[in-house]
Amino acid sequence: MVRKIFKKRKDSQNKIKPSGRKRKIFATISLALSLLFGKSRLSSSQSPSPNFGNQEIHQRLSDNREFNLVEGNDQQVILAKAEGKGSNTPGGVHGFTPAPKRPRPVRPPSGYTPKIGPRIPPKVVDQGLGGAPNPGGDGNAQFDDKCPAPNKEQSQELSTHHHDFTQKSKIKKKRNQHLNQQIEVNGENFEFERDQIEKKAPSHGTDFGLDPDYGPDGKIIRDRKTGKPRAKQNKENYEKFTDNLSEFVKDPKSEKMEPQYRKGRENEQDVVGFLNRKDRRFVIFDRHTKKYITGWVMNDLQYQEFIDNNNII
Amino acid sequence: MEENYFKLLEYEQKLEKTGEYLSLEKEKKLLNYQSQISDHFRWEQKNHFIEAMVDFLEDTIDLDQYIDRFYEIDSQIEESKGKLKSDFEKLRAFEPDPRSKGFAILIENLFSDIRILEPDDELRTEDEISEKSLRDGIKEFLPKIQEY
Repeated sequence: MVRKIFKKRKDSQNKIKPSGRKRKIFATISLALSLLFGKSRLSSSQSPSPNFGNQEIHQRLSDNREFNLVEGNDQQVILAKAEGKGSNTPGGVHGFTPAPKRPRPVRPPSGYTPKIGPRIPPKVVDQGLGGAPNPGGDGNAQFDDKCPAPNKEQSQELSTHHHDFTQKSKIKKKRNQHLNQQIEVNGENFEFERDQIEKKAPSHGTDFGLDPDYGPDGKIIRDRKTGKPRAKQNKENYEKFTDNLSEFVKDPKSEKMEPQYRKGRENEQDVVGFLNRKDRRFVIFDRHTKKYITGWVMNDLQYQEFIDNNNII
Repeated sequence: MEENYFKLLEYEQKLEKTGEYLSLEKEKKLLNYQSQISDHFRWEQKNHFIEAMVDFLEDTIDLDQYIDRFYEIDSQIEESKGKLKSDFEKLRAFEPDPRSKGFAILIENLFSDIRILEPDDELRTEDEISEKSLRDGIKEFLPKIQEY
């Protein structure tokens, strides 16, 4: 009887032997593969995800899943047990693990264009991985992954970081914007930005009809950078300077020119301008934006450089 | 100076009364004569310019002192030029040193840098340069000036 039972059991064992061997082989291969390839295998196993076409988002999801596997390893063990003996190794079941329910990564809508350039999408990926780019985060991957900063906020963080040094001038520029003036000359529009007017009026104002400023000793104050008489910095002068420049540019005696400004030097610029050959006064604008740059009375050498090389220095 | 220089000056003055200009060709010739005078007088002060440049690069003087020195030297040059131009006989007899040809424009480039200098990062606009760029300009032009 015992022999019979034993034989029966042995037979039944023999019956299931082929499938058990297969499982063992499969489990061994899976273990070997997971040990050999680890992360890369995980990523490739998730690639056909139907939810995320975007490669970057997909990469993030794959890496999140890896994180989840470490975090919730029990889940994998249970699934492995259900499969059978010897297959309770994480590597053996990763490929069959359904995507865990986690907060979805912020995915840009179709046709989305990042506001400050192509650096934004990689930042989303990075944040999901380690959270290091989040300056407010503690570097904890779980924390950062659950609270991804919206793209808008990220843009602000980046732009603030890069443009802090120009903040003051930007604020001033915005404040002065309504004082910018546009003029039309032969169908072309040119603009005098108030900031640039305020900048150039003291140094070059006396070349365009502003009165020189006098010191307490009664002597004309000279501009340190141009050596010319300096004009007062006040609202009246800025307005008068703008008017005089406009008048000069519109004057039929002012000939249109398209020279280079400081050719071959660091801040070389293509400019368009107007020159009065008689008194050698000129005004130049950026050739592309048509915004006022500068203008003064050329000396002999500057005028010769302009005539010979179409260059203003 | 050559006789042609005086003829051109005279002709220019005549045209000015009628509101006309010299032709471009004649204007270029006149400018060429005038730049010979500038070349000569700036070249005579070559060592002073070099001294100011080197002192600034070696931080013996600061930015303000460098600018002051440059304008001081140039105001002396302007004074000398003025004296020459006001004395017709001296001007007629004047012969610019041929070694000075093309010197003045090198110095003019350095003045151009001073004109558009804005040391404050927050206030600097696209057409302006930093103190570092000004120094770089001096380093660029110093060997050319020393060659004369």
